[in-house]
Parts: sequence; structure tokens; C-alpha cells
Amino acid sequence: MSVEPGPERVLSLDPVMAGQLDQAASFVVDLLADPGRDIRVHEGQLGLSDEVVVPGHPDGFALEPLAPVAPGTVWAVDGGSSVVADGRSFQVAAYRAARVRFRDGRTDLVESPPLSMRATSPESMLRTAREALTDLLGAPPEQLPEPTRPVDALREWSEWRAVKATVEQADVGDLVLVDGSLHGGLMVPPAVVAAVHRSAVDRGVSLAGVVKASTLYWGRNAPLVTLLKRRGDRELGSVPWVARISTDPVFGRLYPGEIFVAHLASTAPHAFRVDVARGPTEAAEVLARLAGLADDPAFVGYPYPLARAHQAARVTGYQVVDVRRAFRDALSRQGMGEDDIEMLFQDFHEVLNRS
Amino acid sequence: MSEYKGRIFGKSVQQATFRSFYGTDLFLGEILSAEDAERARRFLFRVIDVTYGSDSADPTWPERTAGAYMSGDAAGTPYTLHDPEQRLYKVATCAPLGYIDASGDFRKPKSLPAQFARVTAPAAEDFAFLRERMGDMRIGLLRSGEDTIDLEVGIQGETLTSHVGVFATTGMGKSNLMKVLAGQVLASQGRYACLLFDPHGEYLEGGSGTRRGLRDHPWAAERLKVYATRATGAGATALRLSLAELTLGDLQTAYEWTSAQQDAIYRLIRFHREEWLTHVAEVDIDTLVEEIGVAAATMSVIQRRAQRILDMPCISRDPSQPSLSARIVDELMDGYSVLVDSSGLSSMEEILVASVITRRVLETYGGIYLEDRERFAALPPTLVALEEAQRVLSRVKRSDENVFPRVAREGRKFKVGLCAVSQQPKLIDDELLSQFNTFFILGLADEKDRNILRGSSKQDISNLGPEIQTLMPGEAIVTNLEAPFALPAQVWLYEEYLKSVQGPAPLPARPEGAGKGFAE
Repeated sequence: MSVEPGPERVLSLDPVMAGQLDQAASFVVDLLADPGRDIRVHEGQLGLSDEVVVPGHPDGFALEPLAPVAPGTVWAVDGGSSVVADGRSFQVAAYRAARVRFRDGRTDLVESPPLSMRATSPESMLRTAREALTDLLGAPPEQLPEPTRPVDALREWSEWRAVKATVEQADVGDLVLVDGSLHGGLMVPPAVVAAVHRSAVDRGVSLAGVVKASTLYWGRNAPLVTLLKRRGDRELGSVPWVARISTDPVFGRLYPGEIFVAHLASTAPHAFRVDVARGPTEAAEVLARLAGLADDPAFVGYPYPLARAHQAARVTGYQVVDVRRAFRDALSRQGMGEDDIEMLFQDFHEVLNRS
Repeated sequence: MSEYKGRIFGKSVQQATFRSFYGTDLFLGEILSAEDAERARRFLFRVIDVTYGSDSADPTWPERTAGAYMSGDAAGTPYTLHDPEQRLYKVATCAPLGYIDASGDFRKPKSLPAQFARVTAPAAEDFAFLRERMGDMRIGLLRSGEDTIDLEVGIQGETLTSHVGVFATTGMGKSNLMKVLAGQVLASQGRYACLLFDPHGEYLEGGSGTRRGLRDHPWAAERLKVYATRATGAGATALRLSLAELTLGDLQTAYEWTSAQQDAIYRLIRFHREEWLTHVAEVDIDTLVEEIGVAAATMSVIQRRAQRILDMPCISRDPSQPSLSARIVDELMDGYSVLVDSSGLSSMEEILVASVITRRVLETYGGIYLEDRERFAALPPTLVALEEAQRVLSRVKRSDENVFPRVAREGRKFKVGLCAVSQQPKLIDDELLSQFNTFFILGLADEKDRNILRGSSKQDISNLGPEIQTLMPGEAIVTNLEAPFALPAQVWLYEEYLKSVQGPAPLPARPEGAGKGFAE
């Protein structure tokens, strides 16, 4: 009896191709060690599609100790989203913007509305973008973004609608916090931010954005926030501090306020980029109020109302499952056959991952 | 009480979990109710565990947050958890006790309450069904966690004869409970009787300080007889048993005898009848050895013990002395309670005395049961209470001659119940323990003690380990056949209880001129 030779197999106990771990590590080490000569801000948004590049060095920014103060009334807005069905040529997205109000030392308002749901296609997204931006700007936009990720666009527009409404509702002296930079996102033109900013200034409301994933770089894409955090630990130890990044005049022309990197609590493991809009109070006071909000042990160094807004906005895995089931029921009620529904929700990646 | 505690969210017919508020104080043993409006049922639960809950989906969140707190403390910048009432909560695990249906009847927990049912503290009327089951021997109030509910807890006096166990470690309130229980027997005015062996003199006098004893009970003068080996004040009779009252079984109960020693005693009894004890105490060893034909060492032990017994202040050699145990039994049969203050005796001597009297009680009641049913029917149910009962109820003490296991097995038929008071129920023979229908369980630290009670209790107390472990002095769990579930109780402080006891009505005032003689 002859034995047929099996297919040749190449097996290895190494998780990664030989040498590539070291190559990747070497790249990161070089990135952090190689001193660049400029600071880059990559917003990638309308009107700022090119990087903002200014001369600078991480060691050149002054680290100023920051003393927390009582935060007063602070609003925070954040958004959450999920793709319910992805038909490649179309998507069904669920999203919402949530907000909270922190007043007198406690959260006295949490608004977590039901998810909005929208079916999108490339054609319909242009129409949706026009409607959303017209709503935000009060007039048709001069230029429309190209929404490559409809779910993100829907969420960001929804967030800025909530920010706009919050600024209009806030009292004089209140602080409104935005999750992200004060320059909008990929889908939010600076004009939208400028309009909200004007409204805030008119109403005596302070406006600030806290960026979890910063796009500030030094030289060849070395993360500036990380480098400054490392420097702060080394030079100041466990104290809150802040460094003003937008020292170059170019920022004043492009941005509605100042850009900082702030370490908001003594033992916080992270520093954040914080944008503070020019407004009724000095940026230093706004930053001190933020430090006063960053003392929650569950979110050390991060403004507590933003953490609550994030929780109120997020779409959990269970919610996604529930929404998908409800959507399948709706499809069925509309006469779609079970096989077609199955086909719609089928993702071959899942088949591969399961096997 | 109808304060809102939370909402049920899960588990099964046998266990319920509910979410409670951050600020709600929940206690082990707390009794709560849940309304099932659809079925018009009101479920009762007992809290058996309480844990932390938070809205974080990350199971390591509490641990990390504690670490962050500690880092802040170390850096001198303490952190503050904002909105704890919005982010934290408690999860209570409860054992269902049963439910009250639309007609007000209590039923065992065989169905689920409505999910998300509102949980509240129970109102007093939720326990209306319990009132009629609480019997006439009340010992305290129903307890819910650390609060009490206005419902008196007790047992039926008739069930005293199906034996009572009082179990607790030192300082948990055994003596206080025994005084309350004995006080209720006194207050029954002869309906029930009890024979109480008091090894420390604390039942009679109350012990130290401001404590009060049975002597202070309003019915003591009318219903309590006291026998003591020491001077205990007016009203006490000297405890002196006649030598003739001692049986071999009493000696076997009080002392450990080897089989050689037992054989020798049998021979001595055969030769000298009732005089054997005096004989062996007084004759020299060599003569005894020759007479009985046993080893000198064996006979020396018997002689030494015989001499000690004869030297006991509570033993009389006078053959003409009337039987004290017979007198005590007569008093019990007449509805008196008898307290035997044995505080001057050693442990063995105390057991010897208790054995003699208890044996007489059992045999007399048993004899009447056989010979005169009408008289038997009039006998008061009688409870024999013994401290450190494991000394006579342990497995090694199991013998036909030991009267106490006999009471546990047969006493009920003859209206004689045993009240075993013990710090170490684990040492009591579990077969005997299963004969006890009523347990008063106070704080017990030893898990083995709790486990043995778990197996013998007439109510399921398997979930109550942590509660029993954390009982405070005076807090008890009461289990018996009449109660629908193991009842948490706060035993009255005896001194407080006394204030509520109505004593005998005073004699009416002498009419004016009643002192004048007929001559006038």
C-alpha cells in the first residue's frame, strides 16, 4: 500500500516573521530618539487637509504647574455609533450624541437619546451631508466633504448639533466640553466650529475640546503628547501641568483658540491635547477647571463629565446585537425573505474567523 | 416600614438577586418583601449575601479604581469618586422564604416572583400570618437585619417536650435566653414546668452587676423552687440527695468506667446490694480485692470515686432521709419550676446530680403514663435544661444507662423535654440532635458547629452560615416545625422582659374593721 505524500506545510513556533519584530521596534526607538525640528498638526479636515507645520521642539515648550479649581457648571458632549448592516454598496448606521451636565459637584443631567438609524449609500450621503451641514451652519455649505465612512460622518454631525444646542442652552460662565479637537473632525468644516464658537462667545460660555487620540507630532511623526508626558514626569514629577503648544502665530490664524498638552491630575497615566477656545475666561482658568474635574479615581486625569458623556453615548456590543435583531425583524415585516436577510448580514470574515 | 430597596433582576425559584441603591444599607438576615401585582402575591426574602455592583463593563474596574485612589493618596492629592450614587450599587442575594397569596395564606416558595419586582422593607401586616404560629412562649421580637419588627417570636409551650437546643459561643446570650425562656415557664403559672440545672448560679441570681435572675421574676415566689448546694438566701432548700437515689446508670453517666471497673461494680452490687458504695468506700483495698477478685488498681479507682461521692456535700448517707428527687418531681408535676443551683459542684458531680433527678423525672412521668392516663393528661409538659449538654449527649456517651439520651429519644411521649444548652453542638451525637425540634441558634463562630445544626434543623438553614456567624449578642435564629421558616429574632434582654411580666394580682386591701375580733 502506498502512502500519498501530504501537502507541504511550513510551520513555525514564532508568532512573527524572523527579524520583523526588531525592525519594528527599531523604527519606534528611532522615531522617539531622532530630534525633529518642527511640530506638525495633522487634522486632515476640510481647509486643513495639509498638515500644519511650525518650527518647534518638545523641550522648547514651557511646562507650567496647574492648580485645580472648582469646576463650576460643565457640560460635556460625546457621540457613539455602529454599523448595523454593511452591504458594501450601502450601509445602515446607528448613532447618537449624548450629553451630561455637571453642576454643584454632581452630574445632574444625563441625556442619552435612543439611537438614530439611517440607511446610506454614496449618493444619499451627499444629500445627507448637505442637509446636516446646512443645519449646522444655518446656510448651505460652500463645499461638501466626501464621506468615506458614513457612520462616522453621521455621528460627528450629530455631536456638533448637540454641541451647538448645548452652547445655546448653557448659562453665562458655563463650560462646554467637546470630545475631540475644536477643529471639528474629518467631516466637520471649520466654519461649523467657528459658528459654535461665535455663539459661545456671545453667550459668555467657555468652550474646550479634549482629544484622546492626538494628531500632534514632532518631526517624523513622533507623538508629541507622549513625549511631553515623559518630559513632565521627568522634570516635574507627579503634579498637574500644562504646556502651550500653539505658540506660533500660524495657529492664531487657523484655530479658534489655543492648543495645549495638559496633564490634569498628579498621578494620571496620560496627558491629553486640550483645545481651549478664546472666550469669556482665560485659557488658564479653563484648564484649572478641567484639572478640578480630573480627580475621579476611575478616570484619573480625564475630565469626569466627558467620561460620563462617553458612557452615555457609547453603543455597546449588546445594543448592536439588539438593534441588528430589530432591524432584521423590520426587514422581514417589509417582506424581505429570510435567506435574503441572512445574505445581507453575512460577513465572510466571521466565517473565516470561526473556522 | 415600606422603604424602597431596589428591584429583583435574576436567579431562580430558590434564590433571588436584586439590585439596590448605593446608599441603601443592607444586612445579612434582613427580611424584605417583593410585590407581584399580577398574581397578587407578596414574596418574602431573607438577605443572605450582599456584594458590590457598578455600571462598568470591565470586571477589573473596581480593582483599578482602588489602585488609582491609592496612587492619589500616595501623591498627596486624594481623588474623589464623583456621583457614586449613579455609578455604584449593591447586589443582594436572597433566599426566598415564601409568599403570601391573595387570601393572606402563607405558602412555601415554589414560584418565581415577577422579574424586576419592587423590593421594599416589609410592613408589620406582612407578618400577620406568623402571629398565630408564634406560640405562647415568646422570647423576643422578629428581627430583620439589625432592626426589629413589631412581632413577638416564640414557640408553643407544648413543643417543649420535643426538645429544645440552645447553641451559642460564650457571650452571645445563652444565659439571657434561658432566663427569658424559664421566665415564660414561670409566667405560665403551672401550665408548663421546667427543671433547670444552674452550674454557675447565674440563672437564679442573674450573675454580675445589674443583671437580674429568676429570683427577681414576679412569679418566682409562687412558682419557683430552688435547691442549692450553697447558701443562696431565703427560699432555697439544701440540695442533699440520698445515697439510695443513686443508680449505677447515674454513675455511668457521670464517670468514665473501663469494662474491668464496670465488671467489678456489678460484682460489688451483687454482693452488697444498696450498700456497695459505702462498703467499697470504707473497706481496705486488699480485702476488696480478695472479696471481688479484681486487680487492686481497678478497685482503687472505684474506691477513690466512691469516697468522693460519699464526701460530696449534696449526698446524704442517712437512709431515713426522704428522697429529694421524688420531692422535686412532685413539685414539677404540680406545675412548679425547679432550679437546682449546682454552682458548688464539680462538673462530674453536677452531672451525677442532674442524672439522678432527671432519671427520677423520666421514670415517674413514664410510670404515670403507663398506669394513670387521666393523671398523665394533667401533667404539665416539663423541660429539663442542662448546660454544656455535650457532656452527656456526645456519641461516646451513648449508652442505655445514660438517662439524657433516653430523654431525647423517649421523653416526648412522657411529656419530658430536654433543653440542651451548648457552646459546641458539634460534640453532640447527631442522631440525638435530630430529635430536637426546636433550635435557638445564637452566634456560632465555628463552622463545624454550624454544619451539624444545618443537618439537624427542622428548617433549611443551609444559606444562613454567614448570618449565624455574624449574629450579635441577643440575636438568634429560631427553627422549629411550627415556624414557616427559620425565624430571625432579637431576644429580649431579661431585665427588660421582667418589666412586661404581670405578676400575681395583689391581695385586696383589708376591709376597715377586719382586724377587730368577734368579741367586739
